[in-house]
Amino acid sequence: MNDVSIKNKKIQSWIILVLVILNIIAFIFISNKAYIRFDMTEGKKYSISAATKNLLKKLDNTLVIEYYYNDKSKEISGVAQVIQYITDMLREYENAGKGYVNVVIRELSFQKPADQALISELEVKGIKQYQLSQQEQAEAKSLLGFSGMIIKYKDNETVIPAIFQDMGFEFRIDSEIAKLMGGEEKVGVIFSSSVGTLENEFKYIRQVVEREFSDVRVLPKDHNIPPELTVLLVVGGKGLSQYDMLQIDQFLMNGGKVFFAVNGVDVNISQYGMYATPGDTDLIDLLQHYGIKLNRNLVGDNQSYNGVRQGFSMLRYPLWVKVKSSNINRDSAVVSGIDRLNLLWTSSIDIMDSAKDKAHFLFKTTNDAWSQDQNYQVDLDSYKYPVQQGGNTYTLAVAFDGEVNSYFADKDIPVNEVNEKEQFTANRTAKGNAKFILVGCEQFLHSNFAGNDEFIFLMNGLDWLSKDGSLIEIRNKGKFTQPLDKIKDMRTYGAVKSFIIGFSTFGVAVLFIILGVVLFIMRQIRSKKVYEHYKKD
Amino acid sequence: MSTFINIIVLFGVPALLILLPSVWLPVGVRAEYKKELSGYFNSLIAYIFLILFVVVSNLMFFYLLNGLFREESASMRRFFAMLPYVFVVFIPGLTMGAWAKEKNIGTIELLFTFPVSPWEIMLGKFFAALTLVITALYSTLFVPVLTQIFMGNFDWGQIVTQYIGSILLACCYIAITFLLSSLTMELINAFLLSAITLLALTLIGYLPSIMQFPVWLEWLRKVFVWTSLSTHFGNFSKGVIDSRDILYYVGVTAIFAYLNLRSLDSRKWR
Repeated sequence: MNDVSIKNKKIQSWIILVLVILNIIAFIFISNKAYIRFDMTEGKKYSISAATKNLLKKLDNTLVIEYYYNDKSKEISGVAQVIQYITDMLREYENAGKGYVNVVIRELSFQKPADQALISELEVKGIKQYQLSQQEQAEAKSLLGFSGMIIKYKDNETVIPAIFQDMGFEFRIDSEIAKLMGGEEKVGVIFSSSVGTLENEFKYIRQVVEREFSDVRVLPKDHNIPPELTVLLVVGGKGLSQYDMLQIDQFLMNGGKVFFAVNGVDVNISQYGMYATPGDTDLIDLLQHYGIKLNRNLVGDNQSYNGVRQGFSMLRYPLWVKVKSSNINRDSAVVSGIDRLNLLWTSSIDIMDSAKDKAHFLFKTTNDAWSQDQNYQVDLDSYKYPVQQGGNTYTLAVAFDGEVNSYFADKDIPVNEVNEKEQFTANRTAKGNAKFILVGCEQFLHSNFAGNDEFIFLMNGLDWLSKDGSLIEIRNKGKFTQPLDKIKDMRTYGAVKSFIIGFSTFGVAVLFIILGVVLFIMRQIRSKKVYEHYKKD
Repeated sequence: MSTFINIIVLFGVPALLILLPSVWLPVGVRAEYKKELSGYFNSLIAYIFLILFVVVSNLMFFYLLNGLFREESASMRRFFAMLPYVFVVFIPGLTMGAWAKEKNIGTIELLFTFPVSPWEIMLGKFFAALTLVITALYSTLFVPVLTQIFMGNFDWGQIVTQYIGSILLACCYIAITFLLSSLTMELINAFLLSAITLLALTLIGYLPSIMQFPVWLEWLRKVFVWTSLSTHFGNFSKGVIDSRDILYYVGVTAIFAYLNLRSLDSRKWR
């Protein structure tokens, strides 16, 4: 090539490079404008559900969803993914709304003067700033972020102050939309625990329930249950009077729904150690009258329990039962989406013959469980070694829906002795359709122990009691892990785990070596044949 | 039905990519593909690559990242979150000799005297390297398969998407390392250059997380996020196939393959 030709080639190359870069920019721009997504996950976790579509079909006016987040939030990788998820999901809402859903997504910056006024306005409306942090390799990063939503429908408006989790996002936004569209349920909480207060040890109950139900009232003992309430949450039961029993009974007889979390055995922790006493509540008798017997026993599970950390070691403690997904009733909407549940010092529940066709179990122990009916041993040392004989299965929660006679049908109406001003004056309902859920343990809602699954169970239960249950299926949406619980026996679990790691890591490597040796031998045979062929010639 | 679709996609895509050069593509691609692949398997390269890939990535997954068993969750997300970084080391190791070795020992001139075009040679080499990477990648499928059989149910839609995304990511990495291999004559230079470039392209998506961008450089932050190879892997990793990500990976692969051809062409007039 001569110099001119080489120069031309070089110029041509540079032009091509510039065109390639321009192509990349155009390509990114176009692909961002027109795109399609295929959600390959089970249950289409990244697509809006049928329940949401049905909800949006009911809109008869424009629903405005305004989503605001700040640019700094995206610097935290986990939050950036959530923002991306929310943005994608809101576009799905807009598409499904068929013109009735108007989505506004705004990225704001604290640095931009034009955004500062809007940020202040949003804060007044209720969107909150949060300190976000991320552990980098060398140092922890911390910054101020916000990611909140305002939803407007007709003249109503609701605010979601912070969204930093994708799990349950769709459920949360649907609940808010449903609230704006009307039909709000009113929830009452009767709290009577032996181990804490609703403000401290059980503080998350109220926070979680209020997230979904805007009208949540804590009801004091020895008071009438307001007639406008539709759902009741009863935690504990210690110290409830016969007048309270009457209130709960008549609430059920008149169409009210109740979620009971009641101890069959009370476990107390004091400076002298832990000790347990039989459950001291009349609720046990009330429920037994309906056909559901809460036993005054403590259930232990040899195969599925939570350990207790002591120093650097984990001690076995079968009284902290871990309910596995295989022991959860998949036919019940209340628990079908839950993978595991932790129950502390729980009691077993029997469905009596009279209630067999009205009640179904929600979850139970494995078939290697046992119970203590008296002389309860709750100290850790008793369980260091698996000396308790299992072999039984115990039901730990039931859902009841059916007609029952009032507990007070043939009894005298109790007098309210504590609060004399409030007496039962209405007509007594002798029979009614009762709908309730019973768990034989109150401490599964304790703030120190309860996690996401436990509160999802609580909220699913309240939904099943109060609504048609259509939203239950999406409450768990965004939860992308499934438990490894096919193997019940812990020793087998350990052996299979070692086999999987060993085979998939070293077994496969050995297979490659064998493949290499086989190919080498085949090559040698072929070479030998070729050599012998030419040797003959 | 969904299981059937998952199986078809999981095995159909790699089968198509492997069959494409060996059956349907022009004879020049086929010849080069077979030559390269037999070169890998007749030497120790393929076995060292496959064994190291399986052992290192699985050990990292099980022990360093506490995959699967610590949280007792049937999910491979941690494995696929780690995979781009495993590729950063292993793919340059595999492809560093693609052009650099040919140049170093002088066989490149001989190669281009054959009656095949440069793009056919490049495609043959590309598909041979991709076949080896897919073999390595699919050998890790034993982890979810065995776990599914004995311990718990995976979301197979997500797993399929993760593997398909990994193949697309591998295509990009191979195309980029091919270009860089064509720019140098030394294997070690090709490896280091490729590994550093891939690491940079993988990590730039996280730059906005570790440094502050002034308002006037907001566009740069977006460019970093958008051009990062790992950013586009995020959707695949969670189980969503987005046309933007596919276009990005196919586009980047095509652009670097084209630049590779130009780079090879340039040796005639430089």
